[in-house]
Order: sequence, then structure tokens, then C-alpha cells
Amino acid sequence: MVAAVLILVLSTAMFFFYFQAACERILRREFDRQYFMPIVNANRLEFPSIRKAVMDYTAPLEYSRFRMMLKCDYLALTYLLKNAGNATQCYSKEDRLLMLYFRLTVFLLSMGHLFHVGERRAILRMTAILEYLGNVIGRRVNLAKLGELSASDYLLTLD
Amino acid sequence: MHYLIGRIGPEILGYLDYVIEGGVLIYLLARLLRGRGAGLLGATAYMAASVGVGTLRMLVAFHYGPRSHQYALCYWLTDYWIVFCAFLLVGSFFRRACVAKSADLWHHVRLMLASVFVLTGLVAYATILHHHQGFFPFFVLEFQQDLYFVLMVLITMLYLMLQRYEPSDDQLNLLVCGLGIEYAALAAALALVQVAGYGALYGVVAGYAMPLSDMGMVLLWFYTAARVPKAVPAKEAQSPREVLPAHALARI
Repeated sequence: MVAAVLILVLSTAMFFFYFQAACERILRREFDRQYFMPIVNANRLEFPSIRKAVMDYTAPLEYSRFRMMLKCDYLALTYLLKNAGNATQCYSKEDRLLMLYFRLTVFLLSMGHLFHVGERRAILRMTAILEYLGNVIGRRVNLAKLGELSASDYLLTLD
Repeated sequence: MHYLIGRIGPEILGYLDYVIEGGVLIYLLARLLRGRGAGLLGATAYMAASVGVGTLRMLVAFHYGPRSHQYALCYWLTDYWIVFCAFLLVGSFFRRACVAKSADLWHHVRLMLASVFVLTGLVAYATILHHHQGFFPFFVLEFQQDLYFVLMVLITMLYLMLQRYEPSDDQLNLLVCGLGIEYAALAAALALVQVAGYGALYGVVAGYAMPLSDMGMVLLWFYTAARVPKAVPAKEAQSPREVLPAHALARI
């Protein structure tokens, strides 16, 4: 019985570890440029400013405000992910995985806040997920925008 | 509703898992045939073994019924076969991680893998002799859980080795993460059944946890095959000068 409990605890921990490692690998995927900035500006998303504030270790952490702002950004981005330049209006498997990871990180943030452990890291992870989702939307919108243009039309748009 | 959750739900999930596995296998084979499946040969072979096992199980269940002794025997024997295939796959991943750095390291790792295999075989033989009566279902579950755990430990060692020697190989790292997700979930699920005293929980674990963990791995592998190319080892990578044509080099 002791061995079973030990296996249960270790395997569960390893399951979450591998899940996190896979999500982190996906988040590390590089885009050819920062597609998320136009999306952030157009929708007044706040995660870049939150990241800046959290990375400044001297500033106090406004937990409840940051959490609310990140969740609002998440709702806006997941809506856009489904509806902006998406003909099928469905999330991809990768999007779903990252959305699950975001929710898990929100839970971890709540736990971290309760015990005052790893709050900054959880918030930074959430902003990384939001940035990735923003990049996916930005690239999709960019492709849709350029899809209707011929090569000469595109060159004419360049200043 | 209760009937739907208890009986039809696991069946649908099982078939869905089989269909997804089949689809991903076809995709992987197509990539290999087009010459775009670098680094995916091992994963494809494992997936083919898994789909083959799924087909065999379905045939046996159709012929003898899913609650027959023959089906139980077929299920557990094919499960050992899948674990063996996973062991070979982990070995091939170890080789890929080691050979890029040093052939000497691979010799040590090979010895370690052979020792683990022989030790597991000896322990299995001794425990089967000890439990030759009352083989089903408790001993099989406990034994299976131990096998999954051993495999999970090996996968974790591989993952740690990758972080040291091949941290930039996203494809290999994600393939290993997929294996880790499946075998960690399986070991945890069977351990939970044992801790709960082999009650009705086994039905939930067999019906939901096993296909879901399998689907998790298969979908992650699909993402890896579709989006993440194999990393080019540093010694194979060409410098910009090697890529430039002669007339361009002459102008430098």
C-alpha cells in the first residue's frame, strides 16, 4: 500500500511536470516577428504592462487587480482566437492545450497567493501564454489581410 | 444519463482514441513517405504497434465478448507488448540524445538500459512464480502499475539527459513529454485503483483515464510532427559561407 501511495504521488507530480514542460516548449516557439503588439494596441490589452510591473521587483504586487486584468485579457484573446480571421471558428488543439494551461496557472496563482509562494512566476507565465495567443491571432489577421493583396498591391502599401 | 456515463461513455472514448491514433498514424506515414518525417520513425513504429494492438483487441472483443477471459488475457498480454515497444522507443530516444554528443555515453546508457530490462524481467518472472494462483485481476494490475512506473522513471531520466545534452531539440523533447504524460497518467491511475481498494474505481480508470492519457500523448505527437521540425545537430549545420554560391563568395 505504501508503494502504491508513493507511486500515486510521484506519478501525479510527473504528469503535471510533463504537461507543464510540453506547454512551455510550445510557448517557446518563435514567431518571425512580434504579431501581438497590434492586437494589444487595438484591444487595449494590459498584459504587457503587467509583465513590466511584475518584472520590476521593487514594486508591490497588486495581486487581485493583476489577476482580474489578466483574466479579462484572456477572455478577449480567446474570443478573438475563435472569431478573428478564423473560418472554422474552432480552437486548434494547441490553443486548447494552452487555454487549459492558463486555467491551471490561474489555479496555481491562487494557491501561490494563499501561501505567498511563486506569485510573480505564475503571473509571468500567464503573460507568456497571453503573448503567444496574441501572436497566433496577429499572424492569422496579418495573413488574412495580405491574402487579398497581390504582390504589387502589397508593395504599394509600403511607405 | 448514468448509463451514458457508466457504459457508453468509455466505449465511445475507446473508439475515439482508436480513430485518433489511426488518423495520426496515417499522417505520420504520409510524412515519412514524402521524406518530411525526419526523427519520427520511432514514434511512427510505436504508433503502428499501438494501432495494431487496438485492432487485435477489438477483434477479440467482437469474437469472444469484452467481458470474456480471452479478452482479459489478450488485453494484458498486448499491454505488455506495448510497454516493451515503449521501452524500445525510449531506448531509441536515448540513443538519439547520446550519439549527437558522444558515442561513449551511448555505450554506458545501453548497458544501463539492458540492466533495467534484465532486472525487470527477472523480477517479473519471480513475482509471476509467486502469484501463479489468483493471477487476475489484482496481481496483473499491480504488476502493470510497477511496469508503467519503471518506464516513467526511465522517461524522466531521458528528459533530464535531454535538458543537459539536447535542450534545443524541441521535437525530441516534445515526443518525450508525450510519452511522459501517458505513462505518468497510467501509473498514477493504476496506483489510485490500488489505493482505493480495487473497487468501482477501476471501471472509471480503465474507461476514462487510459484512453484520455493515450489521446494526450497522440495529440501532442501530432502537434510535434506537424509543427516542430527535427533540430539539425551543430556539426551538420552549414555556415553561411558554405551555402553561398561561388560567384557570391568571389565578391566577398
